[in-house]
Amino acid sequence: MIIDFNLCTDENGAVVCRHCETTIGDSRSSPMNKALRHARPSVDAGPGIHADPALFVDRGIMLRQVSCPGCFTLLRTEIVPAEEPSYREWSLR
Amino acid sequence: MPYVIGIDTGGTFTDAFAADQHNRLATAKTPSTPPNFADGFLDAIDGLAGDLGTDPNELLANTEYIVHGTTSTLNSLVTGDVARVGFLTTRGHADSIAIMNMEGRYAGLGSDEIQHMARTSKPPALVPCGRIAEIDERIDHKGAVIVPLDEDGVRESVRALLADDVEAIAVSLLWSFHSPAHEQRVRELIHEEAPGLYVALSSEVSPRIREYSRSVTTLMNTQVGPRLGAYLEPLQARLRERGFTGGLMVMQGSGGCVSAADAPGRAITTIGSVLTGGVVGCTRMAEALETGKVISTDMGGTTFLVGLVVDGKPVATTSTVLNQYAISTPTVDVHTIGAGGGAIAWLDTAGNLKVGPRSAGASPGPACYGDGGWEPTVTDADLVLGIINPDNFFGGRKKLRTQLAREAIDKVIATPLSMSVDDAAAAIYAIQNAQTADLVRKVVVNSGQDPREFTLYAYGGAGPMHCANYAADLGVNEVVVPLGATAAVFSAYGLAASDIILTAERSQPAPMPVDPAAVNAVYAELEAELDARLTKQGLRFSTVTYQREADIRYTMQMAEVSTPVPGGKLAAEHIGHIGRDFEDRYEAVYGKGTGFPDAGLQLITYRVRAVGTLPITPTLPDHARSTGDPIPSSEREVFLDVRVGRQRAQIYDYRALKAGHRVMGPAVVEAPTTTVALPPGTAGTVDRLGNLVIRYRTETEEH
Amino acid sequence: MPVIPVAGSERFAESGQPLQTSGPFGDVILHRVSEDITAGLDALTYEVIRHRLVAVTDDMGDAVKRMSGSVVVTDCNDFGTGIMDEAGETVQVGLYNMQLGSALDMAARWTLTNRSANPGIREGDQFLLNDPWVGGGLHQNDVTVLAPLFHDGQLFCWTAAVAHQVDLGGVSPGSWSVDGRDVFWESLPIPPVKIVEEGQLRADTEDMYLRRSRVPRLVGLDLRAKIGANNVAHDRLTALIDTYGPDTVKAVMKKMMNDAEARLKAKLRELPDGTWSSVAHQDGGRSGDREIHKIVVAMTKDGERLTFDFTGTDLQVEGIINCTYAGLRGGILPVMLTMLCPEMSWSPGGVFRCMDIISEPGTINNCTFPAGIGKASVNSAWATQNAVSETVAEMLITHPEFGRSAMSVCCGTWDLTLLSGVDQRGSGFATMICDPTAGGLGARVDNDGVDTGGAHCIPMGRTADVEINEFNFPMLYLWRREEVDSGGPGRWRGGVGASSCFIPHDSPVGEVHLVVSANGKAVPQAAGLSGAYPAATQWDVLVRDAGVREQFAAGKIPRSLEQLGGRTQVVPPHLETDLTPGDVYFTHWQGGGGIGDPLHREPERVAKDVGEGKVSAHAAHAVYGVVLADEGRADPEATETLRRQLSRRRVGLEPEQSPIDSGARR
Ligand SMILES: [Zn+2]
Repeated sequence: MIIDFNLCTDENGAVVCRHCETTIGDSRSSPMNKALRHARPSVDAGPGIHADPALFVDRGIMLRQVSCPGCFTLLRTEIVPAEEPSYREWSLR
Repeated sequence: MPYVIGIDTGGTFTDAFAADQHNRLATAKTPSTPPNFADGFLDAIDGLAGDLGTDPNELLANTEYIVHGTTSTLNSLVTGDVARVGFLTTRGHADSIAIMNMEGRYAGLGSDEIQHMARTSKPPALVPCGRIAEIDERIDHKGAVIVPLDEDGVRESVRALLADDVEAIAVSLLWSFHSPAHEQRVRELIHEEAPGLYVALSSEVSPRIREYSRSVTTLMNTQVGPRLGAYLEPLQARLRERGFTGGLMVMQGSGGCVSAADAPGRAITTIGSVLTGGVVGCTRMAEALETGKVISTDMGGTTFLVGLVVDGKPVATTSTVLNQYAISTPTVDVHTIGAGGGAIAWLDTAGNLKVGPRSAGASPGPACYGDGGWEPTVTDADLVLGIINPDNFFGGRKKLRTQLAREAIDKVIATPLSMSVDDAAAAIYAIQNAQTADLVRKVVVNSGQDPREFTLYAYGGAGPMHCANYAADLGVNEVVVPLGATAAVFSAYGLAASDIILTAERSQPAPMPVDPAAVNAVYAELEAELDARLTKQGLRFSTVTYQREADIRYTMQMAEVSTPVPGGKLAAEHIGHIGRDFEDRYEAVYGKGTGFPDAGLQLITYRVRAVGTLPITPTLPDHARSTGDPIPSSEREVFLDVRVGRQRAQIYDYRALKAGHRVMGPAVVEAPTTTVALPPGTAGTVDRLGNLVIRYRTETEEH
Repeated sequence: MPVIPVAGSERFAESGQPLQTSGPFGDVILHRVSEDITAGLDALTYEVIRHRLVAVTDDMGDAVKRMSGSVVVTDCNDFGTGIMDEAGETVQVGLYNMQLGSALDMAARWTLTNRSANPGIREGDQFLLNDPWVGGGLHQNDVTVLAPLFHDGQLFCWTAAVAHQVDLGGVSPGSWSVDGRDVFWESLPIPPVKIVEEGQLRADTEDMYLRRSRVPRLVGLDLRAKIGANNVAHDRLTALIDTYGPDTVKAVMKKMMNDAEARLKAKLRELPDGTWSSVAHQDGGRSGDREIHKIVVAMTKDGERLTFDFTGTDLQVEGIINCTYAGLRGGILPVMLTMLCPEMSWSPGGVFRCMDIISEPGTINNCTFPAGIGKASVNSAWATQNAVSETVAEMLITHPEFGRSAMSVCCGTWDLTLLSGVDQRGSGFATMICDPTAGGLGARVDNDGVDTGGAHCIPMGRTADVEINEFNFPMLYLWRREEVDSGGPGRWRGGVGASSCFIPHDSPVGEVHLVVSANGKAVPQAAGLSGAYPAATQWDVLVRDAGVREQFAAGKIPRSLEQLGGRTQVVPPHLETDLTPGDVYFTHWQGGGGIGDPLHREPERVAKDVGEGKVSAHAAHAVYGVVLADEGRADPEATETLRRQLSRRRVGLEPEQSPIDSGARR
């Protein structure tokens, strides 16, 4: 079944990349355990970040991206406080 | 004998009506001929001549003027066949027409569509951004020049637009309705670069506060003006060739017409051209029958149109929506929903039964036409319910197949909802009636009126089959189905009977009470402007009247209420009276005690309407009279009322009905152009002009 | 300062659960209808009456809009209307501010429970309230007028109209007190009081209400607008009852809610079971606060039920951004209606039956008295909506048909600009500038988000024309325009937001008071889906002693912040100050998030966006990886190369490094 623009599940229940068929997660309950994760300062996200976050807050703000290890397609992009875990997760039953 | 002619060119049919002053009438209905609508226009003239037994050239030679309802403007805008336009506006505000006050994402859509937010979008841009130029200049709310006009900048921008092959330029600057000097100078500069180029100024097309709709109105005017001219000029030439020496007039959305020569410069006023003929027809008919307040309902194949006539005048609005854009031009307030006879009944994904807005149109048409339509329509339901006689539809000219109608209703509605076909047809009939009643009520109530004080007129092919039901729901006094000489071409009759109406308006917002000197000055200017334009029409009028109004609101309100203003020189006491009149009107709309004078009043826009009455007015002949009771032509089982279900009803042939005849419901009257349903509890009387007038009987009258 | 617990305040905390008792409610007798009448309703009568009830909420909206005097209502459609059954369940809401349709039921139930014995609820009464713990609105500016409709001596149903009022007192003009630490800094909530008694507007109650406002005339006009809307509804409903009988009309109300419930459940059964989690951040809880406050949600879909679990959400803060339980629901309902129920009757009473909410009282989106809630509607309620909309959209896009109703997160907050002072006519004024109603919408599965298309919770918002604002208020715009790069980059781009830039103009006292409040300046708020970027950060700038007047005199209108001269000050999330005639204020609100990887967007679309000013050449290169050649067209080969490089850089690889461990590849 299709999960989103980039992911689907295969017949074994693994989560794979729709663009290159690379396995992203071993199962529907652990759907992105093989994805690549990389973080940079939020200002690297482009001109949409108008000002240095340090003008407004004391915590560091990061651009965190999760990508397909096969074709490097972005699977998730978020801009969040540096020390926070990623709350943006999902799993299927 | 001088004739007047009305020609109403719709998308499918061109309707024509001619009359002289001596009860000589002619009607014709011919196919429209898109994209060359002028051909259909001339075919209709031939048709009229045929009906009169005369030669077309002779008819034209004897015609004083022709009033034309044209779909040209609307058609250009809907199909996108418009002039290549450039747009000049104030620096910093070019995006106004893209932002569309945000409302452009949903304006004009039904609530079903609006609920589906992710499926709504803004319409395509009116002008690509490459043909929009911003000009350094600025005027403030008082009309003070904050930044002078950058003339070199204007010239540069105009040259760039001309190099991009624009055919016309629209100019809309902030606060120009208050101070038009900058716009006027821009036009001079454009004409220095390109003499004779079509230029429209927002301060002339729509001199009203609110730049978004003023700009849109000006832009659309500029897009359609050159096209309207390109349609009317050759048409006029062809009429002249055939010996026509009278005036060609174009109906405007305001319900009055304007000379063909004057029309292209203010083309946007003709946007409702083809929608208003019927309302004007109702106005004239109401005059003849001495009816005060009329709800005009026109239910054709694809749409259901509602308009109002109050005190002998069509109720007007100051703005309208087209392609999700807001247009500011005074028009007869005609509301439309996709609920004609061809409206398709369907189930949404949640299983709700819906009727319309999609229509089977003329092709393939309702399932019962047997022309390949497979979706059930309102007409199919009317047929299954026995209201329509399959062998006598439109005077027997169209044979209908009941079995196909039943199959379509069964497959799409009845089986999925586990209902019988008859019940499903009844549900379609009832929903159609309920939603048309809802629309009509909304239109009446929003204009501050009470439907119970109205007479409802029902025309168009499908209207009379439903009117007694939706009218009952509204509690109106009586229903008039125009069935006399005008029946088939009622809107063309309206055109032939119309006046010249020109409107001038200006926003000059100020708190009330406004200094009477300022008010007098504005009205004097507006009336002088109208005077000059009336002269330019090149017509003789039997009378000319000026009607003034002012749009007033409680301070800060969004919507103004148009309030009549007396003529002549006004003093402080008049201004006070106008304010009180506004408050009375306000409370009439929203209920006693809702007014709040503490908030203060603001006068926003001044408006004057000049009405020039033309010397020839068509009169309608009396219908043959009779005494005694009418004789039914047959009987059949018909479903006419949800509460009663199917019952035996008398069937009458309209051609055998005479003035004075009374028909008791349950009954059906079959006329050559339509079918009239008379549910139980109603009685229809044929009036002196041949109209069928339906009234609701009270308990005591039952017999 | 330690939070002082307020004894007895829990009495005002309405639970959000259906009525738990069958009475008695003073001498009020509820009109009830038996299940079998509802079950026996024929399809035809049902459809006819249902149409009519929808039309009634619509007519109420028309009445409010036409009668109101505040641009916030007339132009932004920041109001709501609804019909509730006798027990307060919401049968139908109008298509206005959906947040404001989400707690009308709570207000009706609280009023029935707490006011029926004293002072009593009788025919012709209407109640006014602005207590978000009770329900109705989401913050104190949202004032509800609730009207019980009686038939034959029985309480048949309720109607309500609720609208944002421009000012109801409190420390700052406009009642958004940016220094506020708790509710006592703000407009004090009014629990339901009888404003209309047996048809008569009560002068004492009205004075008590209007006395607190800086603009009592405007608020008085709006009060009449809401009373008038209820009157319109009652006339229409009474006519309906007279025609069809009370039991039939009531049965239709019940069935509308039952149907919404059944249809939503059927839809949920077609979607996969699973859990989707998200987070929403707000930087700054009040003026001077440099903390970031988060709302966490885990949405679990199991069979035909949805559970929104907010465990992990931050505790309520000393500030103005908290919301009550009404606000939390206001964050959920708009998403449910527009994305899950677009083709159904909008009957919240039925929709709420399909979901459970797990939330700890005392948290930022379920706060307890006396937490500050002055900005609840556009802070924690709106942020809740952002998080919820992300999870619902992710669930929906697993389905080819239902996914068409999904959008990425729309405009991430309300960019509050509140002006007050003396207008050009010498009168006092206070107003919220409603330009940010034209936020960008989130991207869709098959299209970009709508540019300046609105806010998620107000399907029919509207901004006022520049001329209307300049006529009403002492201000002059340098520009109002769509802003480049404000939409979240993605395969489908989020809709762009816009900016307004203006100067004080023509106030007889010269300066104008300014209150600014908007988050998302450090952490973007409108997230993308499927790898897309969020929309741009919020961006407000104050320029002191700008050279605008000199440039005007020289015949030029500045086109950018750089051209303004003067001293530029980046505005923090909350600020209260004065604008002098030499100052300029620039406010740039948010767009919507994107969907999908921006490197997958067709290069020609990016080139077109650059041509139309929706995307900068810089972003086209750095984020979309598109190389523009002559005449603004995309260069396919150079784009291909650049995209390869960018995709490696995003995962932390140098361009020349070899591909990572190919073992991951199958
Ligand atoms: Zn891949």
